[in-house]
Amino acid sequence: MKILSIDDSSIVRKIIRGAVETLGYELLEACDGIEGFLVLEKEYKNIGLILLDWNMPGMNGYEFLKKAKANNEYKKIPVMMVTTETEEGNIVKSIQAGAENYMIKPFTIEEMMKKILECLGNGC
Amino acid sequence: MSPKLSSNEFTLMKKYIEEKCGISLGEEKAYLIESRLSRLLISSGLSSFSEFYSKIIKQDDKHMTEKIIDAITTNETSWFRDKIPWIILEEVLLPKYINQIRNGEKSKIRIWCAACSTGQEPYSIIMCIDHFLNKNGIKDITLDDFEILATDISSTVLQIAKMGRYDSISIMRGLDQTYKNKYFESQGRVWLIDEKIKNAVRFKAFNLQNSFLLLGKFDIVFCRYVMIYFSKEFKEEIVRKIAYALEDEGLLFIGSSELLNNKDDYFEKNYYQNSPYYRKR
Amino acid sequence: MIQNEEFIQEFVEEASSHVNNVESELLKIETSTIDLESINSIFRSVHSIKGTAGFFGLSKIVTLAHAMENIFGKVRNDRLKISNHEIDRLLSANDHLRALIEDVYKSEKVEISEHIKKLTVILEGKKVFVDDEKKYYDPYIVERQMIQDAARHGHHIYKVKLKVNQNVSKKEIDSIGFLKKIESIGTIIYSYTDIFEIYSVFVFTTVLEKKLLPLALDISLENIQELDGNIDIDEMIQSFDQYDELVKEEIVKPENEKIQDEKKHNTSNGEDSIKVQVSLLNELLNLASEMVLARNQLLRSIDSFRKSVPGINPILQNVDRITTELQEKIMHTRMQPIGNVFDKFPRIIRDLSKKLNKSIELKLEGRDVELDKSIIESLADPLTHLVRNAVDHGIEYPQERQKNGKQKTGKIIMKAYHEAGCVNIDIIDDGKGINKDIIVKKIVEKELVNKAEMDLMGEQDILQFIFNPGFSTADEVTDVSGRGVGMDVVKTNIKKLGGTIEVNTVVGKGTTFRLIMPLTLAIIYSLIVEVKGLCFALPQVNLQEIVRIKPNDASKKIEYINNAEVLRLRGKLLPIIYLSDILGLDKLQKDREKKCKKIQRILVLKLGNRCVGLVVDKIYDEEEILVKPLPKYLKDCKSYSGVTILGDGKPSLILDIDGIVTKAGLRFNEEDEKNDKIDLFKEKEDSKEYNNLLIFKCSGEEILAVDLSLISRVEKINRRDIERIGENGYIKYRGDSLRVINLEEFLPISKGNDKGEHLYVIIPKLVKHPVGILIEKIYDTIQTRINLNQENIKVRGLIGSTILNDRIVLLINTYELLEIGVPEYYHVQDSNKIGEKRTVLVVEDTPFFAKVEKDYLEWAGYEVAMASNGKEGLDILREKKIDAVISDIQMPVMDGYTFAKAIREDEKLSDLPLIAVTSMADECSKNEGLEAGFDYYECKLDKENLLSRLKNVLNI
Repeated sequence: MKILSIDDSSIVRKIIRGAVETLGYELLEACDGIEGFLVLEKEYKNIGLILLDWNMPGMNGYEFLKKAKANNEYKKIPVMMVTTETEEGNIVKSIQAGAENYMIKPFTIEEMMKKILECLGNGC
Repeated sequence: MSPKLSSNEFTLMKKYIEEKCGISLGEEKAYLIESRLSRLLISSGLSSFSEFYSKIIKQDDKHMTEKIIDAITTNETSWFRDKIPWIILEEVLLPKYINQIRNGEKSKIRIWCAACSTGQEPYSIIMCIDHFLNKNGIKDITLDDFEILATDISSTVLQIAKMGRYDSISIMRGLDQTYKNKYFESQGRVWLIDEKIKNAVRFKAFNLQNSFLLLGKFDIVFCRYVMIYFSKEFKEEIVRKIAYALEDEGLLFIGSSELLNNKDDYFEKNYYQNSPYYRKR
Repeated sequence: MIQNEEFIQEFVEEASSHVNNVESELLKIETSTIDLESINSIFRSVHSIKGTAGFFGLSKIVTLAHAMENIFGKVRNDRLKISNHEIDRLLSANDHLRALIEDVYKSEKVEISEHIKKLTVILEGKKVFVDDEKKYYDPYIVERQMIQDAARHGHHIYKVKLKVNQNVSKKEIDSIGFLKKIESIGTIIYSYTDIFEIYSVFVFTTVLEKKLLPLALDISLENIQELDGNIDIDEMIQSFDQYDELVKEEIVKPENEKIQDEKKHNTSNGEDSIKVQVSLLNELLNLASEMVLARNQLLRSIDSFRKSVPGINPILQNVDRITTELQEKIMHTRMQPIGNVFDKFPRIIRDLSKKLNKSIELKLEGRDVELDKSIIESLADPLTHLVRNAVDHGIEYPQERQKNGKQKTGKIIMKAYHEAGCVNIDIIDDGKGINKDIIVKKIVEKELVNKAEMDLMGEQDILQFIFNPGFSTADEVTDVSGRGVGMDVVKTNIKKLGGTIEVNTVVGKGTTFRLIMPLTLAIIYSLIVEVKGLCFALPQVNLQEIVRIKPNDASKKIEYINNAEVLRLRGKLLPIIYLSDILGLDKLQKDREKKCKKIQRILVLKLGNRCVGLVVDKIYDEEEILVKPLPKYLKDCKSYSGVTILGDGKPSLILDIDGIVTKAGLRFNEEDEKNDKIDLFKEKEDSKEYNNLLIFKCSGEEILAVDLSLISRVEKINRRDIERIGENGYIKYRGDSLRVINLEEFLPISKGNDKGEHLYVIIPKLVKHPVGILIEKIYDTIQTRINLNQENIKVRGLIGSTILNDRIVLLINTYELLEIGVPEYYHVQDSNKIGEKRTVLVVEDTPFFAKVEKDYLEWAGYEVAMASNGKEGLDILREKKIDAVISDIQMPVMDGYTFAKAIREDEKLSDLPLIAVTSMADECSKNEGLEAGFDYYECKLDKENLLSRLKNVLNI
């Protein structure tokens, strides 16, 4: 199974990669919403979870979320928002828009691993 | 819109979390509740914290308690965290325990990690012991003479701990190069812990609010960086419960920055190389 | 918390690009209206910095970024308005953030409370909707308290304003160092240094009296101002940034600068990418470079087996190609767009122009041009220096610009582009240009060259002095001085990077500095040359072309001017250097003479705007060489820039052309094709023979010229030095009195008012009685083909007129001039008419020379027949009785040698006296001429000698 990280910061993606690979999953990366959709289109059947940054240039996380949840194929894939403390309003907004979980930056690799397992295991 | 937390609601939530999870939240943590719990709230189909509160107290949902604790605590951990426990273990305790085992005074040394998180602490203990045995050429005593119990409230965290897989960043935190080379094998950027070490630890989900009686008696308890989240009352309760779960002269290690109020009732404060540790009275 | 070195480095890079983005967007909204797109972009950047910094526990960065984020969050939601005043604060907070990020390991110890305080003030909207003219000041609580305390304790409060790097005893000292000095004697209240460290302001309290401060701080008294602690403190605090505030008041409209950013850079382009440590790339590059060398060695050593081993050729070719490709690709990984450096300039220009009260527009071109990372990094300083100079000393104040009919807003263009395998970077300003007279003045003042040399120096020679160490730091008064502050450092730095620097300037129009940089440092393309059996590598950057000279080739040969060897190449004179001489391998003059007989190989090298010919023995292949630094004991050898290992495994020194030329001590002729100013005199035709003209004017407007070969010297004199005896003027010259004449009195040219205290005296050559010709101003010396017009102007003293780039230039005939100017010396005697009844054939293709020669032959009483080449000459000889022939050597159709041979082969003409005339006599061609059949060899313009020689051969 693969996990898709959509984040414009390469460091964040790298940290996520650590968590994902340690769990034994494969990570796909995209640096904004548009690229995210390009990856989804090809790989959506294998993707078990999307880790989504809120703040990105181009298509931001929220737009991506709304569009993904409006698509019949994509909406089944759980989405975890990756945001900062100050975006609490956004967390709620994104959960209302269909995100299954969220992660607050900064996080440790272990925290991210735990969240990923929760999302995958408990079906959130 | 985001559910907003009124000061009334905050007091209610704070009280509930303290009672049910033993976690104490100061006024400044209001944002924590607001931001971290709103997901739980929304996924429960509710729109305000008062609704949320009334729902959780009515249902008294164990699962929900765990989730709340999970949402509010963090899992910051590292290998061989704080210097002193490991020095004491190596220089004082292990020589003593080995003698006791050889003399037949003890049949098994039992160590408990009360909040083991993703496994770094219990694995550190085992590696420390194994390294000690190797270094001193001790053959008559093996890891089998030690029992390490590692518990945590979160089953997900335990799942990670049990895998014994660590990312290259996690592996760097506090781990000596010698230990890394000796006990880990790299597989790309993932590091796998030695099977021998992994199998020497028993992991178990456990809520510190429950009775410790069934766990048995221990020679050492590591209960570090977990009580910081707890209320004064809950902290005192845990210290008391740990004291009962220790053998005579058993030791308690807490985090180097942690303070305990009632420990003097149950423990005497000893010093090793100017750092304190606690021996059961 | 993550402490992984690699991750932190990556964070620094990522965060730096965000900080840059914040800066450029802030500058954008400052000049235009606030648009949501920019605000969003800034918000995202600071947010992202905050988010990632958290992973590393960098709390100071998190806090500062968070404070900025809050502001932009509010602006984005229209809950806060910001104007230029707030943007200033935000920029300075952003600078601070940048500093934290750049020194990330120390960032946790840095104080940020000041910025947080200021940002909080903005966030709270305390200054929302403040009118532009109404100023707002922060309550600097701390500063206020400190001042009050100081006043209570009777301490003094001083304000010191410094030009950093200058005032402090001329020693290089940074503001931090100075700050420490102050701290040793008192307490700092306020300090401010602009980012390019031009000005620093320090306010501090101390018990020391004012007069002790110069001693304590090593500065001069005039930099120190004592402040009165009892006056209104707010007012005093305001005065701390007085400089800035003043500027703000004066500027009418904040149309300071418009930044034209060609396109926003994309941080991520969607391609798969990974980050690699630069050190790893460097290692790879080194390995690839070594591989290139190994490949070269392989190819060389296996060369002789190519034929004997079947099938090896394609394999070798493959290895060759793959190695080249590999090297190119790896080099490419180190390439970065020059935009990385360029992008900091909008801010620099903004701050500088604000500070200096100038209005400047910056245009960046070619941001995508890529250069090696290390070059990019090392370019920042020199470029900053040049741009700072352009702003400070190039661009005029708006009022001044308007007065001169220029746009109020000055323009600076920074342009990068590829040319001839290098990257050129132009820094162009449309300011006042560099005044050569001031440089000349300085050169003379400092006695860098003597007067005589001075007069021979061309514009480029003079301009090059701005790169002299310490040339202009000595004197800040003149408007040119600033141009040279540290220019030597700029040049050294550029040279270190393997680049060169050129400067072109037009007074009143502007200045262009051009940096010519190699694409990469490690490997350079070079030509392997040999002298005296030793191989040297010559960087191709400098190489223009290779000229091969066969002996006896009249059209291409080395000639002598004033004992200096030159090559005439497509109408330009190229100074010649023998590599063996410079390197001390060949000291015997005899060898030189032998060289005449051999084929010579001359490398035409370009050095800045100048060209030089370097003579070598052999030329091998081009090779890519890996530059290794010179060993310590060779460091002082200016002729070499490094060492390399050649394809055959032998070590070889890399030649430093700049050093070689300096060692040769060459003076250059102008290469004027790139010089805007010389447009006036730009030549249009390509032709064989050229005149070197001194272009000058007298008091009137007419432009005059005299052939350089008619002049022995030009002296600069003071108008007061002219003594009048009767009607005539005299000056002291070499211990004697020299008669001087004014051209206005003898030529039909206008007479203006006497301007300036200085005059020049032209001292003609080849005349019996030296007389000085007074002129007012020297424009230039140029080499050109003259299209002589003798019809319009028929005046004694003038040869004629010519048109040089649409201006009429009058050519002076010094012989005639002296005859009419000082007839007492040159009175025409009848006995001079010795040549009567004798006919002389002049074969000369250059109208100018033909005219001059014809004039003095006729003056001497000869009949003159004219031919413009040897063939025409032969035709005339067959028709007409000629008593003697005077012939040029270099001519189209039939040159002088052939012409002479033809005459000697003709029985009827074999006794005819033949005199060869050239503009430049040298021994080598003289022998050739004599062999061809000429009787004598003379200099064309040496009237006296030629006439006496003629008299001699005709037995008069």
